[in-house]
Amino acid sequence: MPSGISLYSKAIVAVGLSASLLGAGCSLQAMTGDMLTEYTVQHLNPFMLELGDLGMACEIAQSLGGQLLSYERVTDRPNKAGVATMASAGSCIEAEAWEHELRGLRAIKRADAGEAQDARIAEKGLHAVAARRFYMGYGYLVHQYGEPGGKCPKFKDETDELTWLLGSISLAQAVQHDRAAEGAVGVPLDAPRKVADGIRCLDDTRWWGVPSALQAAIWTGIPGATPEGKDPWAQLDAAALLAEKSGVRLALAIRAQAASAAGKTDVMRDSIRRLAASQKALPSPKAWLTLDLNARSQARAISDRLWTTATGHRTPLDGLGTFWDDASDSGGGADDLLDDLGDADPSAAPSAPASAASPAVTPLPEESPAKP
Amino acid sequence: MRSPRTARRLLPALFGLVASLGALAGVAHAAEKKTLCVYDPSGANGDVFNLTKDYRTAALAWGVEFELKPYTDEKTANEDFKAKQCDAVLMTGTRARAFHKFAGSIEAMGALQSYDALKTVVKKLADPKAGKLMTSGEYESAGIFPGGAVYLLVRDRNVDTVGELAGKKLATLDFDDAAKVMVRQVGASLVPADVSNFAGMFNNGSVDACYGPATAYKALELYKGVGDKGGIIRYPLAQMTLQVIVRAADFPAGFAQQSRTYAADRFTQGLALVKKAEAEVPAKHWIDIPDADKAKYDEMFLDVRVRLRDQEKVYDARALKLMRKVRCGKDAARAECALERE
Repeated sequence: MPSGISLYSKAIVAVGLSASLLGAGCSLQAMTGDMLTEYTVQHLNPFMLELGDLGMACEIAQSLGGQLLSYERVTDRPNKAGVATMASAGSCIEAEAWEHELRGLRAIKRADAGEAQDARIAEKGLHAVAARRFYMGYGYLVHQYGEPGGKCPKFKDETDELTWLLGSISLAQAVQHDRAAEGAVGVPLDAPRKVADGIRCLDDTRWWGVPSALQAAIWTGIPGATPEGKDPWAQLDAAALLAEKSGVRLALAIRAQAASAAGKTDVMRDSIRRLAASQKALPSPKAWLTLDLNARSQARAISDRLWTTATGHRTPLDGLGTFWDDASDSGGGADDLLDDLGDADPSAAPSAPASAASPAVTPLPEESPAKP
Repeated sequence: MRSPRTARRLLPALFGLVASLGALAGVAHAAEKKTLCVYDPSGANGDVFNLTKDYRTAALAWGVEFELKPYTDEKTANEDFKAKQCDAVLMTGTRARAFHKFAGSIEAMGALQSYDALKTVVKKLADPKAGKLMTSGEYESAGIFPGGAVYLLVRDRNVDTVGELAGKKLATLDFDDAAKVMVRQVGASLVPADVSNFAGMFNNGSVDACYGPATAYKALELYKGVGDKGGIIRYPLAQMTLQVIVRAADFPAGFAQQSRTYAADRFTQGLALVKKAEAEVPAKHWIDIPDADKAKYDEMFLDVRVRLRDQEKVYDARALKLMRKVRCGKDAARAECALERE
């Protein structure tokens, strides 16, 4: 049982602590904000990165992001948490924009101009929202570390580096979405070059080839941006190998996007095929599962666009890495197996009447049940 | 009573009938499939390609379903169109001139100094009465979109008159015959360049001047070359345009006319991005020149255009005449209006 003196001294300490907190401008709200920010960076983000559920990652950013970010009104701006939160929130809208794009492509396919037009309008509106969110995420990066493109910031730990990576990707995505939204947000046109410069601050191997892939992809989209002696497509090839080796295949998705933008169909298909094959062969590291799934989602978006344009529907569920015009294997392979067989069955003609009651082979059923 | 097997046989036929009836109801008409090769320096992520997606949607109503193919290299788009890899192409007017001299001449040096003047020309050419002018051999111009005024950028803002350009090194796009003649006319030193290296040349000081639309200012970081001492002369050298060229025989009757009308109707929207880019250029980087200097530029431009029409055979005389009428319609006091050299 505590003594009376002990209780007395505890009360004094409590009063003193409260007074000092109030004196320092702290409040319950500020403490909650700091705690929530800390929790987001230390626990929520790593948890979501492991969870491997893009839908949940996006929903939690959309639903709780506003609350988290609002704490900047009462305490320090939650910069690191803000980058990841807005990147996640941006990806929700990005996915919605893709859906409308596919709807538009299907409408084009059936020559439904009104529906196609409606889909374009909806898609552009969502691109604008995505651009704003990604750009806002990048804004938190700038607040935390300064603008990319100059001297590299000093990263304290892996979280700092990851934040830099996500913020840089966010800026690149903000530019893309803003262009798709006819510049509605006003993301500066020189932003991509800042990303290309700033991303060199990260170790390429450590981050699965993403820095070099992102840099090269940006170079391919800006005339004259590639430094002398560099070959962006060779750099993307090298980054793709790192992605396959590491199990986090973002660099392959970036390569697919760059190829899609440049009209390099072969490289685009190769990237998607390799991403799908690699994901089957090598599981992603537990801590980065969500990022690897994000790579898959990005690749699927490109694949869906191609599939829908060609066939009217998106990539089949298990079909990522395949294309509608892939050589079919239903013919049994080598063509020459069917050569020299002749047109008629020489053994049947003399002895067996055509109306033989017992067929030699079991006839195929009229309708085969659909395979599961 | 019919067996389940018979019913199963009938079902596909029934679906086929329903589908046929749906088609007859005319909700949508089948569109001809065509390929449109689109030049955009940023490929499928660029503004031009994005605008083309809207164009593709509109084209459905004119009976065409376009497959869009992005090209980051205009020369390749040009070659693929020539080789019939594309049924239609969207490229700059400078390149389009090879297929359609009249439409390509819209970009003539100093011929249209305002967006208002360009709009008048684009609208006029979208008039069905201009249909004959829009056909050139097997090719037809199927729409002209604004790409932005082309400005001269200088590393030294003291170099802002025609006379001061003499002897200065000017990065000049190697496929642009008209620009080469202009550079020679002003006595500047021509430094051959292409889209991928002119900005670098300007930014690192290899040349004293270059030219381009305001959209390139930030995207290509031309502000680095402008620095504290240079600037952008706010008097357009030309109007860059993005033009759709088609092989007329391969498209449904009336397609190109509808397409031209669409482009003309979308003029203001197409210009919005250009105007945004111009607004983003810091005020201190713009160089406004006095009217007397503008008159000197006008004189030089006129000489260059006439030479490119008569000697180099680059410009179409009818296009130049149309643009003179537009200029003089807006300002009859211009010296050239009495001269009628075009």
